[in-house]
This record gives sequence, C-alpha cells and structure tokens, in this order.
Amino acid sequence: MNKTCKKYEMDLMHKASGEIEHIKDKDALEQHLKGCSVCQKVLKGFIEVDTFAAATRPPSKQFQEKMADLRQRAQKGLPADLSAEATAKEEAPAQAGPPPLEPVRPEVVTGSYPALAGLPPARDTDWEIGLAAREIYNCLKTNGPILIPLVRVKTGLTDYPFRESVGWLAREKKITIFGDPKTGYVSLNPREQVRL
Amino acid sequence: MTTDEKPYIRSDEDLVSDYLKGDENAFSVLLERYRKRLIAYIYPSVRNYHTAEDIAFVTFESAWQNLRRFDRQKSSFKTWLFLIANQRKIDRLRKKDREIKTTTLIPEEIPITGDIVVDMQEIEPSSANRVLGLVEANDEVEINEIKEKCLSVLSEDDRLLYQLKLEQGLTYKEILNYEPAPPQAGPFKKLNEHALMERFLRLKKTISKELSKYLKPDKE
Repeated sequence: MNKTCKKYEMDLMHKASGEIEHIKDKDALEQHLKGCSVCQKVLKGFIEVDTFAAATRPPSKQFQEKMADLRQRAQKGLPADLSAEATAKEEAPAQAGPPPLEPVRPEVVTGSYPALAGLPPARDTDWEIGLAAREIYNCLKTNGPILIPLVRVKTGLTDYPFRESVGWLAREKKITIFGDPKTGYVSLNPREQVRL
Repeated sequence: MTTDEKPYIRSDEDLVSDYLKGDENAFSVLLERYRKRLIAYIYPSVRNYHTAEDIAFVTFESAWQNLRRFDRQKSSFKTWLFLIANQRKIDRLRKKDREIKTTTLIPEEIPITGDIVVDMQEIEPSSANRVLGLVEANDEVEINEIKEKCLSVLSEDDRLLYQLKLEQGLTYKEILNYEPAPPQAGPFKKLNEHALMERFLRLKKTISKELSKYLKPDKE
C-alpha cells in the first residue's frame, strides 16, 4: 500500500461500515477506488469483517420478538390454510379420515441371507446416533440448559435418532433431564461443563 | 457441512414437506438454520445491521406466506429463499433511493447515518460471498470457535471496542463516553474521536487478516 492509498484507508473503513458522513472527500475516494485494485481489496476485507461480525452477533431484542411471533403464527399453520380451515369448519361436518394403512411386509428374495433379503439396506445406527448426539451436545454447549423440544428445533434432527441420542447421552451421564422427558429441560452435567 | 453430508438431519426440502403435512415445528428449524446465512447475504448491500435484520424477517415472513408455491422440482429451498431475500433487498434499496431523491436537491451531500447508505449502482453482493460460504460450511459451534480465534489476537480493550462498535452498534462519540462501571472512566475516555477511529482501523485490519485465514481464496 503506497502513501496515496494510506491516505484513503480510514475513508475505506467508513465506506465499508456505511458511515459515509465521516468520509472527507467522497468523490476523490470514488475516483481513486475505481483505479486502485489494492484499495478495492482492502475495502472488500473491511466489508468481510463487518459482515462476519453481523452474522455472528446475537440477534437484537426486536428481531427476536418478531421471530418468536412468526414462529407462533407458523405453528398454527399457513395463513391460507387457517382461513380455509375456519370456513370448512363452519360449512361442513367433520369427515372421516382415510382408513389406517396396513403394514406391508417386504417380499423376501432368496439369496445368501434369505432372512434379510428384500429388506431395505441396513442402517449404521451407531454412527447415526453418535453424530446426532454430537449435535445435541454442541447445542447444549452453546445454549446451556434448554427445553428439550427447543433442542430438537435447534438441531433440526428427526424424531429418530433424536430420542435415541438423548437416551444415549443420559446413559453416559453426559446430560441430565429435568421434569418431563418430552417437554422438560435438559442440561450438560457439571463435569461436562468443567471440561468446556 | 451440508445436509447431504449429514443424512440424519432433515433437508430443507423435507422440512418444507413436513411442515405442509402438519409438523408445526419444521418451519422453526428453517428459521433457525437460515438466520445467520441471510444476514451474511443481505448485510454487504445495506451495511446496517438492523436493516439487514428487518429484510431477513420480511424474507422469512414472505417465504412462510408463499410456502405452498415452493416447488422442489424447480429449485432448492435455499435458492428460492435467497431469491426472495434479493427481491426484498432491492425493494428496500429502491425505496431508500426514492426517499433520498425526493427529499433533497443535492443527494450526494446528505449525511446518512444508521441506515442504507449504498447507492443502487454500488450493490456488491459478491463482496461478502466468502463470508456467506464460511457461515454455510460451519455449524454454530464451529463459527463461534472461528470468531473466538479471530478475537483472541486482540487486547482486552480492543475486544471491548469490537463489542461496542460491531456488536452493539455504538457510534464513536458514544464509545468515547462509555463507562463500564460509573463513575469509573471508560478505557477510551482519554482518546479523541480521530484517535479512536485510528484504533478501530488497526483493529479491523487485524481481524481482516485473521479472518482471511478461514475464508476461501479469492478467484482472480
């Protein structure tokens, strides 16, 4: 970076942060920036720092409230469905649902393992539960004691292997469940917290 | 790490299907999964955190309202969501652009603080694609570790300066008057505004250098 570029360094920082009121000569800066690849790179670096800081900072209170409201609305269903449901309830009596599906046993194909042939491929359950347990452990490490349904939301895990992994972590004495095992709280054990 | 590499995690498209079939929590998972990514996508164009949050919220709300229109055969959920975000971002910038043009005869001279300051011609979403890539490739714990490593090279006062400026969004004047435990004077009380800016510039250069270690190299 030469002397001229050095002169614009501070302005580049203000430009990256969007604080253009601090820039002394905006036109001169733009003119210089057009022809200087070094300053373009520096500007990009500053924008990256700001973007990283924005992406990793905790959400504001207003945003959290708005998101909580959206979450609540979403849990009740889509807006169109809600209005359609309300009309349907008024207009038509409740209809009987489809008959329950009978379990279909897969056709056994003869082969070297006739008892297993025809079944879907075997799952590596140990591996799946282990990785899911890692997700849960990390979630508790980041969030501290938290509601069990919220852990599922935050990790995005399916019902299986979520429950199996919670059981596995509890059996390994890594976590403790408080209250109802479906709706209560879960926390890392004190020994695990010391390790963090 | 993507969901392709973690088969035990439901894909975005499966979450949409599950939500439409009645799994009421499935959409919340998507909100949680995309918050940081959307902020990282929107921020470089608007350069104001609260505006980026606003646009991210409007994007999520639009996506929820139009979820039935999403067709997994045509695009991935991510592409669809980012298209909505892009549209909302442009709407906001156009609105601001109009406001500036109608409220003054010399738009270039308006000092605009704390809101969109970027001209329509100046939108550079590519500027922070590398950060978006980093946020997408790492989970929350890994991202926090990267942040911690980047900040670990700073002194205690510089870490405080980072928090005040980049996480709490204080102005330089507010930072100069910051008192962590009144009446004890804050660490920046003795500085003037220019000296504080100089210090923040050094801090940003340091973090930029540290952060670049984790970003993918630029395509020349």
